[in-house]
Amino acid sequence: MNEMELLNWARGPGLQIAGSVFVVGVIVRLAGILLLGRKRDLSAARRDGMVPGLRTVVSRSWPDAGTLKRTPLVFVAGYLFHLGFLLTLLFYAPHILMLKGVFGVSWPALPVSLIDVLAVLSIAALVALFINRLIDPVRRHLSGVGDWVSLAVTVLPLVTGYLALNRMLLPYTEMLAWHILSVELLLIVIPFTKLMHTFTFVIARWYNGAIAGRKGVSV
Amino acid sequence: MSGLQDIGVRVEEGAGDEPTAQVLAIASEIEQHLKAFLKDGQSASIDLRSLPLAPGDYQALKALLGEGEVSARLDALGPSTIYETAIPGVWWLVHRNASDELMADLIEITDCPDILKTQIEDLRDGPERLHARIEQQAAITQ
Amino acid sequence: MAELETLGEQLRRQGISRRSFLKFCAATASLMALPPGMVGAVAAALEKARRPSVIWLSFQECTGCTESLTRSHSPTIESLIFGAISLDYHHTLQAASGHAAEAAREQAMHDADGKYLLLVDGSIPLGEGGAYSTIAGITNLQMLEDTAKGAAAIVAVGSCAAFGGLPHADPNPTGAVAVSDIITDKPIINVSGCPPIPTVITGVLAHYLTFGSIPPLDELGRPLMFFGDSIHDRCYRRPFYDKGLFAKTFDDEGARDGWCLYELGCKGPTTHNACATVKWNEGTSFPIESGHPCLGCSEPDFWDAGSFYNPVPAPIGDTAKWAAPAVVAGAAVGVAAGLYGRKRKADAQARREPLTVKDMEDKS
Repeated sequence: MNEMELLNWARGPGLQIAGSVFVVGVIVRLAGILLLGRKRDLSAARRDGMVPGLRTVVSRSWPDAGTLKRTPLVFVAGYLFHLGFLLTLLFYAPHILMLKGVFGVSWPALPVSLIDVLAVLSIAALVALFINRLIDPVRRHLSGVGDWVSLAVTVLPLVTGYLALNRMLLPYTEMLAWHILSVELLLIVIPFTKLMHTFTFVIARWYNGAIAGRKGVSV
Repeated sequence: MSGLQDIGVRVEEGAGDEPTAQVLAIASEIEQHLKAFLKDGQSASIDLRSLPLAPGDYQALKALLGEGEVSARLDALGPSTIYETAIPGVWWLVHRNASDELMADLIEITDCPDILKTQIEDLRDGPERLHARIEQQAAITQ
Repeated sequence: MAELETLGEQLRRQGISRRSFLKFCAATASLMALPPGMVGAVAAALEKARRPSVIWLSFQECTGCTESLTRSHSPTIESLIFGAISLDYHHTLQAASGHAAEAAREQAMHDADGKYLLLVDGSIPLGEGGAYSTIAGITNLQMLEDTAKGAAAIVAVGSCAAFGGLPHADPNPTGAVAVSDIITDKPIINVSGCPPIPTVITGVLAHYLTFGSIPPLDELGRPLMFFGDSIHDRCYRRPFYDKGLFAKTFDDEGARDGWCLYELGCKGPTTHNACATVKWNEGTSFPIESGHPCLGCSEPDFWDAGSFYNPVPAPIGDTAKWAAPAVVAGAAVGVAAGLYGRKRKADAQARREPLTVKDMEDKS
């Protein structure tokens, strides 16, 4: 298979397969969570939990005081990675064109030089988190296959994307094909690992805020 | 249906604008070659057709280099124009075939392009040709 | 039939001066995209070059590649046919036809056995035993295999011969394949493009004539001297790409100002060809310069790479076609699994046998 055939496969059948697994997987898992429901709270509600829940979804984006002191590395690297990942995914011009091809909407892009820097910072953050997980005996003991796999499939699109953008390692067509394939690998892995937090974080944050609200705790 | 003349075509040639990056890059390369020639007599040649020139770059380069004291016309397998630009040592050669189609477009940095000089193989035929022409003249007058 | 005298002897015999020969060499070097400093090497090589016999086989093609070749002015097609090469067989250009033409081909193959250059344009259909394209009752497949046996080298002219081209596009009803899929024991030069630039075809021929060897090739068998760079890397609109200035539609302000055509489907980043430097129509312009995005016509399977007007990052095919069923399937499976889960939870609660302290005291 030559490089063009690989690229065409990645953009065509590859995306169809990975995308289908992703869509089915995410919906099945979300349906499971929502349908299994919660245990009925028999105590009297101080107030309705909906609004506090929604507020918590947004407010938890900012951590509580003391988190930075307790886990500075995870705090900084975590934020750096998530921000960098989301910004490079959503504001790099070719990605916007890809999303336009799928959803039909587009928005302005960030300069390429900024995207380049963000990609490097995101990769560095992930490497730091990986080393931290490896060196810290408690974290290493707690880590399972899912944790290591999640790190790997998340860093691959960033690394291959950076290599493609800067015309490094492989000729562009081939590097681009591997970048798209690495994204498809990520898509397939998401429903089966903790990476589902991409969607479940909303449910988890809402739930915590809702319970607190029901109990009358100010949120 | 609007006509062709309604399409607002904007011609890209920026005549009179400041030189583009590509023109300046070529000028810089010419400068390097001139310095090298002054240092050790090494001639150099730039094939303009190997460079990605934007519309207007070719004319801008021609205007930048200007025209000097020497211009020659070569008639060999079609016409060629060779002239020294306003920069001494920088020659511009345009080779065309018998159908006036462009064959090669070169800038040479040298004291005299090789193709202007008489080639030794042709020089060797010189005496024979001279004698032949003398005999020809003699035959006519007789 | 191929001549025995060298090109240098032939030119001198025709009374062409050394100076004229040098001009011819300068033009040939430029044509081959060689640095002008190599004119001396070209002159030395052409002095000793002999006119090779050339057989041109046209298979499942549109004749666009022959049309392109006849637009080549450098060297002129006439000088190529009569002077530098001995074109012993070509459907469109030769005077003979029918059995006389086939006889000429067989004669050339016999006389120059092991030494002739075989040029092929068009793909080779394998479906129905090759019946989709035949010449004088001989299938393309048979003719290619027979003629390739005694060839010194093969030049696959155009994307059809090099990669299968248009006939090879999905669903490939004729079973079209490239020359390199059939011949594996001869050196093959792929001069791809739909069609290739005229001077690229003649430049590759000139290289073979001059140096008697195959020029350096990339992984797809294309000469690096013309296919080494991508269009994107030599495009004069690259500064606009780098600055993020893209034309959004074909007639907007950006398009009129000559901005990058990436969003309109330009395949320049993944396409290797000489269009951005050598250009078309004797260096007049090329598609991007005329305002149309690059189709990627010198790459394999460019017809199956999604719409010409969808950008490179966009998915190929309609996303909704697989996404909508996936959503439905996911919902169905998810609801089923969720309900099953609830049922198991309810059953477990129903089966629950509460254990009281009294029960434990009774047992002990």
